[in-house]
Formats: sequence, structure tokens, C-alpha cells
Amino acid sequence: MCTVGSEGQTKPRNSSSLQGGAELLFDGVKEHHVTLPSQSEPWDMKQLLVWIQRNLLKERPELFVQGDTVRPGILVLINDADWELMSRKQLL
Amino acid sequence: MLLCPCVRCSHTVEEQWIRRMSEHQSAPEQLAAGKSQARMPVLCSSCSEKRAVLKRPKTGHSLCKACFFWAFEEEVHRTIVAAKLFRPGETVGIAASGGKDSTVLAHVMKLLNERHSYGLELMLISVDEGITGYRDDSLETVKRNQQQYELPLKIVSYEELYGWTMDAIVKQVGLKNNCTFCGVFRRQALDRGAVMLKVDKICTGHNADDVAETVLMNILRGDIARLRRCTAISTASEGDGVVPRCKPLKYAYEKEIVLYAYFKKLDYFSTECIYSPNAYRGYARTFLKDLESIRPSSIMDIIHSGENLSVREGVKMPVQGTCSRCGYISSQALCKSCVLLEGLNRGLPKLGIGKHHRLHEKILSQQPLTEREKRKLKSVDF
Repeated sequence: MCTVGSEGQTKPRNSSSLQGGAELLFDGVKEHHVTLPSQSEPWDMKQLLVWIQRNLLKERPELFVQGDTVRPGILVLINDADWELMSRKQLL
Repeated sequence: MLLCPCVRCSHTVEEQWIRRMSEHQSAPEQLAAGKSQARMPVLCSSCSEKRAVLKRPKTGHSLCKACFFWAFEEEVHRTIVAAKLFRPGETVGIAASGGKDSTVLAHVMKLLNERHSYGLELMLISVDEGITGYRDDSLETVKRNQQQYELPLKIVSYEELYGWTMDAIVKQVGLKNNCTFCGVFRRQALDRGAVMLKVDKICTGHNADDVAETVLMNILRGDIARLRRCTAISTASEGDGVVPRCKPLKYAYEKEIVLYAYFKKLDYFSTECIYSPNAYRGYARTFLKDLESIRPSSIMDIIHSGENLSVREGVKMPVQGTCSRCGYISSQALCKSCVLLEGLNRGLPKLGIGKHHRLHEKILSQQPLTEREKRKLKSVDF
């Protein structure tokens, strides 16, 4: 399971927490506090996932991402709420 | 007239729909305009007051924490009542591994036992397969659960029951069929633990995803006997040493179990068993997860199909008897556990894997095996 919380608009600060086994792909580190590089448009989940894959994921990317999104079976919470509550358009 | 499936209110589905449409009249237009809806929190479809924290795959409802807890717990309660799983005064052993399913099961069983006065005496039973690094950690979690839920705990180990730990078994058997050994031994180990604790029933944390995976696996393997039995929510008592068992979480989605444990901050241990990466179930699981992402009701639908399967008359089915060596339930002369153990003790790791029933007779009667037969049973895949 991957939970993501964010604060700040200009320089998005983001804290991600991985648990339920997902942390094993990230060298066992559960909590990640990161500052994302600033860009003109706001970050969306697709970009965040690509960024996580490039910068935080340590092994076996096929177990975490599949195509544009996370592998089926991985639950994602944004600000402690299921991301399925939001429409695809808002996220990706 | 359909009652609202949220479990909480007693409105009809029609009333709920009218109420929601009138309260959120402007919502469809806002969504179409695609403005700052990303920021607008979705409200709980049950209480309409608090922010929703999850979308239930089973029903599509968006629920807040409190309504979700209530819905989850009450659905398990309804499952227990509808299937008449327990009787007042019974002692029930909760199979606990320290994982998310059994932790949630222990939590919910204790809660419902008190809330609805089931009158049950609850205990935890745990099995130590002897997998270094994996089982040690999860057993620590079970011991913590024992303290947290204040329930008695019994741990049975493969070492004391069979004289073999999983580590030792994998050294002999390799990494392809080891799950067969573990599953067969664990089933019997749970029964032995239950008999030692003198419980009337065992309940396990199998969830909807597990049952659906099992249905798919049995279809893929063409195992009609298992396919018929695997969706049963409880097993009847089948003789001495076999304790009836049931699955109160049979209709609970794995996603909801994970989120229940997360939001309730329950203490559980989660890591993949180090010996399981090649397990056949993994393929069924991947397929099921893909199906769920397209159509979440697939999991319940597969269970429903499995429950409603009927077998044509005249199809040959195995007859349940007893093992001639240990008396445990078996459809062959020797139960699977005895066959596997014999194979381990005689250095023939493939005995019991695949179909070698003719050889079982030879082994039972202590006849010597030919070199060819021995070679077939010795070959191992690492």
C-alpha cells in the first residue's frame, strides 16, 4: 500500500509512506519525505509515479508499476483517502 | 423494493437516490466543467456528513471511516448469522498467523462477540512452520495480538508434529513444490492445535480474494472435487481429529481488509513468504487482480459461480475415507500428510507430488522400489 500526502503549491513537498510489503521494493524504507522539482503545471499522479519509479524504487519495477499506473493490487491513498474516489481525469 | 446496501440506514435505494440527487444538484455540472473538483472532497454516501475515505469495490459506495467500519463489521456479522457459523457457548479457535487477514479476523470476532453477544469463548491458534526470518517475525506479531486482544494463544510447530521444519523440507524438496508440503502440513497442524485446546470450531481469515483465486486455480487444474468443496463457508465435522472450520471473512474483499487494518491502526506483519514466489496461486492472483481493476464485482461473481456449480451425474468423484496409518481424513489409502512425510523421511521428495498412487501401495506394504521408480521420485527442481 502506498499513501501520499502533500503540502504546498509552489514547491510541492510530498511525503509517501509504503507498507504492506511495498516497502521491500524501496530498500525497506517505509517513509519518504521529498521535495519535487518545481514545474509550470501542477504535478499529477502519473508524473509522481514516474518520478517515484526513477528516484525511489530500488528493484523490480514490474511489481510496482504497470503501464501508466500502479500494478493492480497496490492500494494508493492520497491524503489518507482512497484514490479510487477521484476520477481518472483528475489523477492521471 | 431494495433496501440500501450501506447497512446503516433503512432507506430504500430509490429514496437514497432522490435524496442524493437533490442535495448535489450542481455536482454533475461542476464535474463536466472540470474545474477545481480535484479539491472538492467526496462525501460519504451513507451519512453525507463526513469526507469519504474509500470507495468500496463491492458496492461502489464511497464511505467515511466510521461508516466503513460499521459496514464492514456488520457484513461479517450478517455472514456469520446467515450461515449459522457458531452456537452460543462454543469455544472457537482463531487461526492466527500475524498477517492482516487473521489480525482483522481476531479483532472483528472479538468485537462482534461482545457487540452481538455471541456467547463464544475465543482463542488464538498459530502454526510455526519453521521458516527462519519469516515465521519468527510474524509469531512475534501474534504474541502481541494475544496481549492486545487478551486471548489465550497456542502455538504448534512442524518440528514437534512432524520432525521437519520448512527450511529442512525446502533443502530436500526444492522451491517448486514446497508450498504443497506446507499447505498440507499446516491444515493438519491446525487441527492438532485445535484438539489440544479442545475447541469446538476453527475459523480462518480466508477472504473473498482467496476464495476466488482458489476457484480459478481449481478450474485451471481441472480439479472437480476441490472445485465443488472450495467455496463452502464451513466444513462439517468429518471424524476424529478433524475440527470443523469456517471462513467468516469469506465475502470481505482483501482491499477492504487492508484498509480496515490501516484505518484502525491494527498491528500486523506483512511480508511475502520467502519460499512462495513460484507458487501456482500467484498466477491466479495476478489474473484476479487484473479482473478486479476492470470490474470490481468480478471477485464476488467468481465466488457466486463457484457456489452454484453443479456436477453432471455419473462423474467419478473421490470417496472420503480415513488414512490407514494415522486415521486422518483421506480419499486414498494413505493421507497426503503421511505420503509426503514418508517421501521426506526416505529421501524421495517427489512422493506425493503428482499422481503415483500405484507406488503408495508398494510403500505401504514395505515392498522395495525399482531403480527407475526411485529416480522418478528423487528428481527435484530448484
